[in-house]
Amino acid sequence: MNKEGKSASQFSIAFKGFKRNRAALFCGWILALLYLAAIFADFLSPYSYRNEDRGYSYCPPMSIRIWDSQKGLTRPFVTGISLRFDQFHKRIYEPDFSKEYPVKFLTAGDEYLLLGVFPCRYHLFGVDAPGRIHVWGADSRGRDLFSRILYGSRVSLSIGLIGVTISFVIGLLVGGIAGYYGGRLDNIVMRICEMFMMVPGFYLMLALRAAFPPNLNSLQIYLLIVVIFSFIGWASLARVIRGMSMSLREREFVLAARAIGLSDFSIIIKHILPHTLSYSIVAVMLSIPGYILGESALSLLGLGIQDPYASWGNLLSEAMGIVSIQFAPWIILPGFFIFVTVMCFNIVGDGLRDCLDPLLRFEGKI
Amino acid sequence: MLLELKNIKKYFPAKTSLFGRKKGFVRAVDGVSLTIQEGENLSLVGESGSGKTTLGRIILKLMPCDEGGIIFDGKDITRLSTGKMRPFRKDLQMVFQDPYNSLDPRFTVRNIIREAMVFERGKRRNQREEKIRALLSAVNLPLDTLNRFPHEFSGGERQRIAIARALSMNPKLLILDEAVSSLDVLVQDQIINLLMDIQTKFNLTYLFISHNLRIVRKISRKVGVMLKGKIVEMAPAEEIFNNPLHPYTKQLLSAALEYKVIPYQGDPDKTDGSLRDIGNGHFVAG
Repeated sequence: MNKEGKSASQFSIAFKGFKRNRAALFCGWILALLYLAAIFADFLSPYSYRNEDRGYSYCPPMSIRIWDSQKGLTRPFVTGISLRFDQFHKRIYEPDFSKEYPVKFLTAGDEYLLLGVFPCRYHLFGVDAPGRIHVWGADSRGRDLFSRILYGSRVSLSIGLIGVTISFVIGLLVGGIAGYYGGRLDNIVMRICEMFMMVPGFYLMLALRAAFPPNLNSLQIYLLIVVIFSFIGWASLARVIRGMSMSLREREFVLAARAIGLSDFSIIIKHILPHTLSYSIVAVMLSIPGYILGESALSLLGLGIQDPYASWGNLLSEAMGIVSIQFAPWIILPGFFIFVTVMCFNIVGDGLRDCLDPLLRFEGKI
Repeated sequence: MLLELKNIKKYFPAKTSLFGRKKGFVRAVDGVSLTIQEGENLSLVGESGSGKTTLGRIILKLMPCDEGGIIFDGKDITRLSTGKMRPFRKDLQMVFQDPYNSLDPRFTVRNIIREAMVFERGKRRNQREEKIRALLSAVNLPLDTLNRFPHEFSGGERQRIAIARALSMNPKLLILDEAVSSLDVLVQDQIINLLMDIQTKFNLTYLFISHNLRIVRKISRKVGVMLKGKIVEMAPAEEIFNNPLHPYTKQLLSAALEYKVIPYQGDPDKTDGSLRDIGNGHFVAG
């Protein structure tokens, strides 16, 4: 009990332990930042995901300078770019100090809908045309990689959350019902689960993708990928939840609820599934990376999100050739983001498991 | 007649063959008949595994029985579906053995009791709140416990909460399944005193399932001795304690109270299971 006389549930006690885990907390903050950046991607990025300038194809990352050779210390600016070809017809970009474009904050640029509602044309930073700012370089079509990574994070980060939500709702319900009733129903449901788990996930994903027409628009593809992932993902959770619910239904508080005359469904929802929560929270955290990687893999192969829309996977598809990596190494940056996100989810998941472990042990008993 | 059990049988499959055919059985409850009058507390005693708890759960229809009939308040409830059983749930409640297990750890005390007040859903919020408070004071718990979680209470306090939950439905028959055996001796006495106290207040009848003869002697008017799923002796409490006839009863008494006897080596399965009337309401097997 704390000072106000309010009692702490076991959950809130467990989460206090999470706050002591520095690494997990740090990764949690990184994830929070990434998700915030995804929400405000259109404001934070200087260009829209489709704003291209072929003159800047594979333009290397520009440095923002604050020292002018004549004027000395000035406000931050980027220089213009001069392009020439060497004897192998490779593009060589050199800074052109005769042109200076000061970096402006809250500057007008491409129009977008802030939070999907408010029309807005202001961006956090940018430079006036004809100059362009590419802090992390540009891709083959001269689109700003920084902007595209931000836009891509919307797809890559949200697909994990939505996919995981759907598959976990299915998994919890199916597992809870199968475990609670047991018997023949349980037998049938578990055999179906095993059928799904038997097929290697990635090939099932490819097969399911192939089963749908190729000429879908971007939103349809996005939803399709979510559905495919949920379709694959629910089975393994359902199996574990089924086991837990089987042991929980013998617990006396479940018997007491039955003695009261609660319906089976409300017993499952109120007394069984909440006790599988500490397991499923950890499982959710640890399975989100799978969804992110899955989407990236599909998009990398060109089966997922299509150009010009961005996702971390299809941004990486430009980095498939060794030549492009050699001449424009910055295009593998989305891979770094995938790595960081996946790692953060794993560390946060581990941290959650550590702090929820006493609960897990309690719920696993009997 | 509040409750009448007719030849209840419950066999659990113990072994299954390769193809799922059931081969062996554990006879958890093997032809038990008994009656409970209103206000007549019956105790079932016997060692662990004698089928007492299973019998309690069968009466509450938490598990189906294989054979026999349960007649509650003049109505046969043996084969009622979950939905049709619901009105009877109100009258039949249970307090479970392990108070650390019988309260959902994610619910506050208020929610635990409120959940049981299924039949008062129509009532207004403050009316229900009033009833919750009345129940808490009936089981001698302070009102500031309402917002706390079960893990903050001791075993005795938890058992009081469980009793309050059972009382919230105004049951006629309260089955106490080893309700005090996990508590320490002093707390046992407190709970027993509480139970005797509320019996008159709430007009209850107890079916007391226990292996603790000291407690049984205090609370029950009639005692049934169970062994391997059968009742081997059934008599008014004083009769059992003063004049035990079945050798197994004698052995039980000797283990609990200073009562010298030769251990019972027999097997109730060898007898035909019927009880002989000795007089004074005293029945014994064999």
